[in-house]
Amino acid sequence: MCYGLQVMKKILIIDDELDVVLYLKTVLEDHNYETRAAYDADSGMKAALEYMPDLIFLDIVMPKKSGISFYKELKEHRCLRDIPVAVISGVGNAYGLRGSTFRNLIPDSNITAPQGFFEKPLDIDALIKFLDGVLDHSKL
Amino acid sequence: MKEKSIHRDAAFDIYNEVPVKIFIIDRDYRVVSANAKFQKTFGAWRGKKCFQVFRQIEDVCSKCKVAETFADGKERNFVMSLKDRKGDPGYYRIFLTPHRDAVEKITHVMGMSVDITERERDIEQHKSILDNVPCFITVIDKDFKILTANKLVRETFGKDLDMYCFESYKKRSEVCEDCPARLAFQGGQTHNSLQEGYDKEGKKVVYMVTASPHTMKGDKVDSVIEMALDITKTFFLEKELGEVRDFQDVVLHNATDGIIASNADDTITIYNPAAKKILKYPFETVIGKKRGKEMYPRDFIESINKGSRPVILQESKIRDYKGKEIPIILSGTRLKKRNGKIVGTVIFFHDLSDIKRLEKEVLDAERLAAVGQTVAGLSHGIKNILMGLEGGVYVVNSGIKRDDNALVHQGWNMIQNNIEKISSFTKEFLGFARGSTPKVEMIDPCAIAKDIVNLYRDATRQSGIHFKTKFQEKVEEAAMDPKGIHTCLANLISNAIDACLMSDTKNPEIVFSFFEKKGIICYEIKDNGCGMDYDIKKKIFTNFFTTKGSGQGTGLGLLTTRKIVQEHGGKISFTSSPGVGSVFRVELSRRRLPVPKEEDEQP
Repeated sequence: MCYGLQVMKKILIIDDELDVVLYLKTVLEDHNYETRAAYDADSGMKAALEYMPDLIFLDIVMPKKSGISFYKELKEHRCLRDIPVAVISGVGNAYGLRGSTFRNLIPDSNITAPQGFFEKPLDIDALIKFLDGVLDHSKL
Repeated sequence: MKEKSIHRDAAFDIYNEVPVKIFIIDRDYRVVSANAKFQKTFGAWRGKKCFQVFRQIEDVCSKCKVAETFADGKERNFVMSLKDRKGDPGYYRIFLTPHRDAVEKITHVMGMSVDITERERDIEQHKSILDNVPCFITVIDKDFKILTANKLVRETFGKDLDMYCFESYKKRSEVCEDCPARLAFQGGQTHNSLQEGYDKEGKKVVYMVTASPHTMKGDKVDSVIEMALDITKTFFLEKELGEVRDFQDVVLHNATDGIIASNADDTITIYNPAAKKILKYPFETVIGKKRGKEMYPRDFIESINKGSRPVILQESKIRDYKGKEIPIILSGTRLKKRNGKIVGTVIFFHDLSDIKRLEKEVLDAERLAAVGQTVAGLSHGIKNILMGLEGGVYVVNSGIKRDDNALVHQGWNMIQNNIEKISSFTKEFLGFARGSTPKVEMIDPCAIAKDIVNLYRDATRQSGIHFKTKFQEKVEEAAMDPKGIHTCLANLISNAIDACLMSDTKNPEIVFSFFEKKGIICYEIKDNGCGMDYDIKKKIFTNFFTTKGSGQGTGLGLLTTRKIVQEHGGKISFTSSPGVGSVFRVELSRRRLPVPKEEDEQP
């Protein structure tokens, strides 16, 4: 690791929609984040283990396996459970995953709720502000 | 001397010719003398004993009347059964008189007997008739004491003679207030009345009694003959029948369902108040006036003429007084005797007007709800497109800033894709919105399913999906919007194909079933594709969303499908589990299907 250079924070984007991935990737790169994308939950898990991101953007509604299942697996994984997650919901407020809705979906009280919730269309300013807060990235 | 001789001859002639059998018996039971009539009847008697002559037995009879006469010296008069010389039995009235000698000692007993066989037979016959008559017969005197009673009286009421009739018949201790015998005694007329008594076991006996004067003393009635017919069974049957009739009347009057029945001539005999409430015909214009075929719904008459089974019509119509058609649920049947002879027809029907109205209100509410969900979904679909456009613009700008042509290109693609999405979304949405008035016609519900199979056969084969069908044949036509149902089924099959393509199943398969059960027309599409998670399942009908990745699908398919199904009064349901597959089922109840329009509503 080189001194004097701040290490870029790594963000993993898991979403089956190419448009969303491209949009987020561009936004995050413009704000000096390193990104990687996965297009479904299983490859997202693989990428998380390889890449060990500082944060994960997670879509909920995906074919094969949903974001909820992925989140549970992640939180049960010893090496990955501390990675903060921001949920991107494509399906409206009912899937905001706040409070009781989240508990209904994941009754296990050991699993904490995601750190962030973002709805489409994305509020980029809010998203960047959230990242700065969570990742203490503002100094770069 | 000559006179004396004449007297003796005459006495001898009288002795022999008098129509009485005369005999004289001594203390040793020997017949010592008998006249010619005796000999003619009983045969040779000389040297024989009385029991040998009369009974052809060899020992003295028990309770020998001759011996008694010797003992007490009293005259006797009794009836006895004796055998004549041929051995035939007969009844004889016998008089026995002791014959005394000079010192008053009884030396012989003289007997005279008259043949009363015929008279006795007559009496026996009368008695037998009396006993075998199937009614109670008693003769009672002025004090209501029973003089004679026949066998049926004795058997039914027990002891009779030396009893008062009220004791025997009614087990009471004084004359009945309404005694018909008393009236017969008083007026000398015959009186009838219905009476209730108790038999020897205490069971009630109901009888119709006729009391007539029997014998007179001067101008007063001395005895009365009572003849009573046991009508207990009839009485109770009639009572029971009356109760059944009353019960039926109560049922008919209080039933909330309309009931109409006609007899074998098809004349209406039953038209209950509930039927009147529904149909409004005044009672007097229906019962005995109208014919069943004028009142019963035509479809009921057609069904009942086809077979003998009871008919249930979930949805029928009956015309009221003003000719208005009332929707009803009806069950009816031909009424038959055990031997199969038709005795009439009956229908039970329930007015469905209120239920129909409620159903329509519910359907309208469901449609409104669908519109609401559509609007909510619409805003979400627009949000998605908006995000695609925003993202595209951002990416293009970013590409320009970074001087990254590839990124600019990608951004433009994104914008283009979303513009295309707007276009197809708008088209589909217009289709969704425009198709709000389905064009309903009577069609074979299976034919649509077959069309769909033809449409998707190639696509499934090319994708390596095994496409199976299970169709029930010969299902009756139903009122449907063929285009709408076609769209529904096409959407579901296309979803099933996508689900198969998205999964890793080695033998992808779609089973398309069609059947009707209990008036429910059912289409079922089963796949062994990727299946759905809980959270996907929760949302598939409630919003415009798709799991089909970028650019594919608008999320309108299932919503459109559900809307069409709802417009047909039906429901769509599914089961699904990830990795196993999904089953979608469209159920259309015939009762809730829309009514086909007679004419096309062309502008």
